[in-house]
Amino acid sequence: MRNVFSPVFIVGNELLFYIFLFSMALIILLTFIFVIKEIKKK
Amino acid sequence: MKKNITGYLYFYIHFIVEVVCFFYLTRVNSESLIVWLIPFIYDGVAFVPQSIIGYISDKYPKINMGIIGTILLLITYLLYGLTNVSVFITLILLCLGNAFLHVAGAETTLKTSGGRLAPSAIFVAGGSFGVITGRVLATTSISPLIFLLPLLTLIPMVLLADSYKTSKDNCKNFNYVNKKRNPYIVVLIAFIVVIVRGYLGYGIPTSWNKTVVENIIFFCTMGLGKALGGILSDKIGIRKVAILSTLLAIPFLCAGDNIMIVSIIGVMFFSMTMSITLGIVVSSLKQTPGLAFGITTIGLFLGTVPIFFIKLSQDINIILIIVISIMCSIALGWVLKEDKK
Repeated sequence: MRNVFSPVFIVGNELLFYIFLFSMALIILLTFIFVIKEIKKK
Repeated sequence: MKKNITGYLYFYIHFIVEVVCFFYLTRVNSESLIVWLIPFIYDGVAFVPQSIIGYISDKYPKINMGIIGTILLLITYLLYGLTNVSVFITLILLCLGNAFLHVAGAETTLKTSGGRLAPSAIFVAGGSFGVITGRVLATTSISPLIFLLPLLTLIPMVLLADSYKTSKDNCKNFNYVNKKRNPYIVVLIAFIVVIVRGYLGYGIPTSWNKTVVENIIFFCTMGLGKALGGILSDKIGIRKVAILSTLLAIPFLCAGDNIMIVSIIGVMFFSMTMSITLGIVVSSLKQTPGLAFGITTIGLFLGTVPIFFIKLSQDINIILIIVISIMCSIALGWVLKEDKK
């Protein structure tokens, strides 16, 4: 079996998961800023 | 003038992309200790950045997103097949490859379509066939390295599709939205419709779907519905298709829990909305079709997030299907302008 999820990831690197969630939220926010900017341009 | 076949070319490209993605996901997830984590990360990293990648593609059209995506997928499969590198590295590369190729498909099919929905709908439809093919192949004993060959065929396909692009390409002919409506509200409504439909897609009662063959039929019907949504919109009008498909899906979805043929008719109607919401967002963001496509993929991601954490009962799902479908139908009817035909 590949070392897909070592306990280190699950327990110790929860921070990585929160960084992932934060990045997704940031991209979504950026997207809406771009959308507002583009609609304003029209 | 040569006939535009970008929709069919990207149908094939999308098909292969989903085959390799779902082959990888099914294999890797079967070895994972947390069942939901890999699909969740996949959904996030493959769907969400498409808006930013799409926006970059809109601003710098000379960057070949399709070739970048293909290279990323080739690297993923070389690493996955030949080394024991961490799954998270290959997963991120796979997701980004998927995202780049989706953006390339959306940009090419939308910009060269002359305002028609069919090419982008045919491109989108390829994914459903690829998802189920990848899942089925993952249960066999074939080596992942075999997929390097179909991945290599993507390069000439992307270049061939690019040959249909001209410097005059744009999305100015996408005029599906009622001009009296506020564009911010229009984009927001389309976004919400994608989210709720994305969520409902997982709540469709399908007790009949137990075998591999039935699962194949389910996904193929979904793909067929997505393609038909665009084709019929061009033929009879987007507003008619939006309202009718959303409402007609309700009885078939609710009554088809144990009857396959009834259920798949509902699934087909249900899937037709996909290209329609894309058409609505592109009509509001004509200068940035890549960004517009990204809005719909973010909506799909947000729609799938609850399914990882919440499980509703069948009765509540049926009530949601009825209520949300009626609301979506009213919202789409309000946003879309009257059909000419």
